Amino acid sequence: VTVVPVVSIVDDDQSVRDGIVDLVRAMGFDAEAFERAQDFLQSSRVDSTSCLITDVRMPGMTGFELHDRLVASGKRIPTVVVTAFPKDADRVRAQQGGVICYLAKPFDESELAACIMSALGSRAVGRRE
Amino acid sequence: MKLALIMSQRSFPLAPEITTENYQRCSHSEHEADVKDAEMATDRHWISGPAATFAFGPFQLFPTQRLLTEADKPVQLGSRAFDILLALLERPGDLVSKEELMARVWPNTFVAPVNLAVHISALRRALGDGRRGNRYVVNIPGRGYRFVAPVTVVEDVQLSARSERGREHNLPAHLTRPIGRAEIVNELAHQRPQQRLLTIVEGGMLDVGLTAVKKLIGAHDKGVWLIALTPLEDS
Repeated sequence: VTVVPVVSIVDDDQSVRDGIVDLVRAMGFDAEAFERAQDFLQSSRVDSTSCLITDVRMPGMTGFELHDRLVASGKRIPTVVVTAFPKDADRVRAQQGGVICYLAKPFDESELAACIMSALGSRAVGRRE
Repeated sequence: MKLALIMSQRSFPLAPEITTENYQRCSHSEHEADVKDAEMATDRHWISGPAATFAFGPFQLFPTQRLLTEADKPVQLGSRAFDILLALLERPGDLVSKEELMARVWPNTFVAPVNLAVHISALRRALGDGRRGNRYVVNIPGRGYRFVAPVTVVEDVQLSARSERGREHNLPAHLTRPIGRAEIVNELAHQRPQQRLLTIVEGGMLDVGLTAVKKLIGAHDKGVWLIALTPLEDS
């Protein structure tokens, strides 16, 4: 059975969450958003997520900390990082950490969509069970 | 539109031996571009500073206005595709790597290579690249892109053309040609060039006046300048 790819969004800004969820669903994927990184880590979606889209600056845990946590626990989820505060140091960090895209807000929907497609393509899309 | 001075025409596939360095040298000796302009020419804008415009085929690109025209009509082009085109035009004939293009178009961030491909494809569509045998942007697989059509670099007159004194003006480029007003145009243009100030009162006469004044470009030492007086509202 081919499974619809699962995309998860972590951002403390509700309007961004809503916007990305709409976009991902319009692309035909399963989307769910989380306000905090901890919420995502504790959810069952951690294991089914094929693409993670995360903000950087969030209360509690940053997007980079979330990414590091996932990598450390052996869960290499293709990740897209979006930020309202693009910095060169963060760009380098994202690149070295294996992040797929590091986008500045406000971003173009088509640009994010292309990043999501790259993330999904970076491992088998539509995993078989 | 400002007056433009054509600086150079070069066709890269035919003249690959012209390098950045010796091109700058020859542009200086031929056109006496001044030293300041050369100082302004950074690596990126080495051709003639940021005010240069680029012409290729039926297209013209105006970097400061962020405008691309085809046969004088604006072409719809997204800002990313515009940036890519500008980056390629600044180094016509050179291989520009994907990394360079992405760093230029997405400063401080990075995107997946597919993002670049998407905008390259939009750019090619806008240029009609590949249609009727036109080739502009060529992909060097795995390495980057190259602009292969001949590019003419047009220098903004205000930066370099000191000898063009008196030809400066700010008159609109496209005027409606007044019909049946040749006499008035002629009178204004040829019988009153000694007058330094011409006031056109009625709106309907504006094109007549401007057409006449256009003929005066070059006749006055300091150029010809249009000053639009703010319309007064009825009170």
